Amino acid sequence: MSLLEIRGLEVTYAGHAGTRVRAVAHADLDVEAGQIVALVGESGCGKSSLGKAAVGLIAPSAGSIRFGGEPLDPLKRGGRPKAQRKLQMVFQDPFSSLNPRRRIGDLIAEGGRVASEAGETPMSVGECLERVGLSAAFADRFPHQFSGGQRQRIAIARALAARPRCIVADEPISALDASAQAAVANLLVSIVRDLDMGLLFISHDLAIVRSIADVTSVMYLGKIVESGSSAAVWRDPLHPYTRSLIAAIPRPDGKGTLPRDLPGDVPDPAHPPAGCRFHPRCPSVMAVCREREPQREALQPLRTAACFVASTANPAHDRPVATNFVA
Amino acid sequence: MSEAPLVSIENLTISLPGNNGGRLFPVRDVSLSIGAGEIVGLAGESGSGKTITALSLLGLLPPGGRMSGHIRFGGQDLLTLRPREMADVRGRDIAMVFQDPMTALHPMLSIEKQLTEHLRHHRGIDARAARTRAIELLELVRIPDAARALKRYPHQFSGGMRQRIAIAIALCCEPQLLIADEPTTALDVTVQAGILRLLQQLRGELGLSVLLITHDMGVMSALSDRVVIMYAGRVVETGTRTDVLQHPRHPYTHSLLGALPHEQGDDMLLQPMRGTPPSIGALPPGCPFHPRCDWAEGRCRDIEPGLRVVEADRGIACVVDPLVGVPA
Repeated sequence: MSLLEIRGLEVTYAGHAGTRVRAVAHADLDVEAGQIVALVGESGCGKSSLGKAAVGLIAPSAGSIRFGGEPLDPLKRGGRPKAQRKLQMVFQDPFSSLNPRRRIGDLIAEGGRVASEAGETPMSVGECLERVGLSAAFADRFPHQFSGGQRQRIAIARALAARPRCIVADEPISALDASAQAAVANLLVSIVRDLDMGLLFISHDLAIVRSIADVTSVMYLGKIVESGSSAAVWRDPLHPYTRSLIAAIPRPDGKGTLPRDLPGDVPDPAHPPAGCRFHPRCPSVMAVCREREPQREALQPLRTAACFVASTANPAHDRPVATNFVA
Repeated sequence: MSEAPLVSIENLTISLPGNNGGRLFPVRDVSLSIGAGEIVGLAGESGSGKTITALSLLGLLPPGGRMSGHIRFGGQDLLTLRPREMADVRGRDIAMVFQDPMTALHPMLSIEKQLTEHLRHHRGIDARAARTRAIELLELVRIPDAARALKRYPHQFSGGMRQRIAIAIALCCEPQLLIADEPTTALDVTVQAGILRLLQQLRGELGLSVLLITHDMGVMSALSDRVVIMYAGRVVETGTRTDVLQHPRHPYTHSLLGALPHEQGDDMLLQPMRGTPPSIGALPPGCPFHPRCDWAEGRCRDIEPGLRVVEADRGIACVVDPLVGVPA
């Protein structure tokens, strides 16, 4: 049993003229204690919808989410069940996620109220601030007195005050400058390791993910198309989409080589292509890809992909679908 | 460079009104040049002064902004032009594309209207000729089915296609210099790769010079011939793409590259830089980078180093110069 266990998750939104848009289509994902799992993909792939459903901010239309073994209910007006308060979220933009009119000490203490209500001693404001590398003396200041990187540390401190067992962070470093990105990414790693927490790290940046996450899952148009240890996914991507994504990253090596582009646009999620959702853009498309939708299968030990091309190249591995592992 | 460059910014200083009647200096003593058909990458973190440097080329500064120095372009000094004359240069000889193509395009006007309006204003051609030219421009930026695309509106295009349209509008008057301010930052990587390819093709086909402003060293490496690194309103390092990215010589450039994910054996490393960039209203004395620099010496607190030429086509603003000959 994983700390956070997502099975067959479906998230649908109402589209134009009564259509339903399937933002997340049958996703399985696990996060263990002490583990960083990255969910990567381009805009509109459903990664944020998955993250919000994982903390109960939106109601899934099907599937199950279990946290610490208990089913997780969507957030209601009356607040959330006590057990779920150990699951916290950190958002992308630390300029809008912190109330500008409140002192950061109060903001963090409010995060701690969650722990007190659950009958636990919250982490003190000073301890939270020091844990994220800020001085305890900053508690009297307001958010505008801090840089973007410092604000994101404050948002993390607020999540820590609740003594969470798992954090879902949606693009927590994308809004920051490169020098601050590295520092906040390393901070998240040290928190996860020291406090034995789980972290679901949602990002569009594969290179950052490669350097901090244990496991990487790649999403395309609502589906998780590949998953495995970050090093393996980066070194030897199985799914053609993952390959295209990695090849598209421009490298700062001074060589002046253009990254490879992936022709075509992401299709409208309200009308996904028949068969494999990636087939209209896939450089290795086969006839079967246009007709049937590939299922995720274990192609190598501890690695899964949903791709006919990859499964032809990697003859069936006689293991059950493994989504639940520590790298 | 033996030929005179297309644009040459010399000792540009920009000041803006600050609080309490004081003035802030977001750009100080910046010099850079762009040759014909050359792509120059201008990089730095937010607040380093890269965007305002670019806006100065268009004569567009925030209210109360003042400039000193010279911006030489096509035999004239842009800083001496009257507003009317500057308006002619802007959009005709020097054009700009912005980060967010959704806000750069008018949401209520068809693509045809937005392209032809520009053409008719600057070129004074009739509607029919403008339409023909608009189709050519969309084809130039590789928009499929250009004639039909003209009838559509910005929201009917994806982000990448919208950025191509914004580039087409910028190219209407065959500018000599295109300023591209974070042109791919709002786009997904696979789409970004397509826009980078397009910019390189346009340089080849039109002999266009490009000033590419970016915070992404990968983007800069893919496209630029030469790079200029800014920190706290000053140029700290300049040189060819290969020299600067493979053998950074200013400590700031070195730290900036170290903060990016980079492979070392089997591991990917991230080495964060200490501290945060200073605000332009409260610069530390001496070298503005010294509080974050691993090599800072006593004299770095006293002297603000100017950019000095250390080898052919290579300049750094550092008195210690600790990285000379050190492999990246």
